[in-house]
Amino acid sequence: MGTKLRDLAKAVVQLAPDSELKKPKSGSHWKFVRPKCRPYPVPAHNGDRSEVGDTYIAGLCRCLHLDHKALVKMLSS
Amino acid sequence: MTKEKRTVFNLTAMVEPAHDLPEQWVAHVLEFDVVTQGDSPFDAYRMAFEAAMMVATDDASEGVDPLLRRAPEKYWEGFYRCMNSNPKSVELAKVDASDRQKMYIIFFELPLALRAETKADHSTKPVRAALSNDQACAHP
Repeated sequence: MGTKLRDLAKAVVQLAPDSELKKPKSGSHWKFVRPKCRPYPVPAHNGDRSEVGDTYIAGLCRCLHLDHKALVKMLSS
Repeated sequence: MTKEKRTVFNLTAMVEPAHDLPEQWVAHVLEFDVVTQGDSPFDAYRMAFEAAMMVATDDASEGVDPLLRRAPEKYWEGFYRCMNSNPKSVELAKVDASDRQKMYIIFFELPLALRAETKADHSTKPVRAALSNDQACAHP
């Protein structure tokens, strides 16, 4: 089952308080930013109601240097 | 005088059905290690193009090479397996999104014109698309 973007954003900020979800004015992607990491695009066709899958979350964790297992655990709790 | 540098990235996107999201397709741009999603293989490709453009312009504005993001080797191994399984070429815009037994490899170019302020050339035509069935190309 997928994860709603708003839930993912909350969990990411909880896990890494220095990270932030930014909403550019145009395009179908938002982006997660974190100091010392490169920005990572977020597929956001339906705004924060968009759903993302685990493959996406794994990619996000690689880019923002987050613990994938900890994030998944946080999302499932 | 404004200095302008033009560059073209030759990129590869692996597109497959999302295992945890019905009716969604996941696209992974291997050279930039960027994952995104779409409603169909073609939509996933368009999203991949946009995400790759975002990454390339962000990195260029910071003076870093987006190719250094490269996906871990296990994802490339899936790509090599797929290419070794004798995939056939298809027209991506015409594929049946309801057939979730297939995965696609898409080769595309990302042209970028860099000035003082980075500008992007938004052409979205895939260079080549290759199709393979899931038996031969299970994702790692």
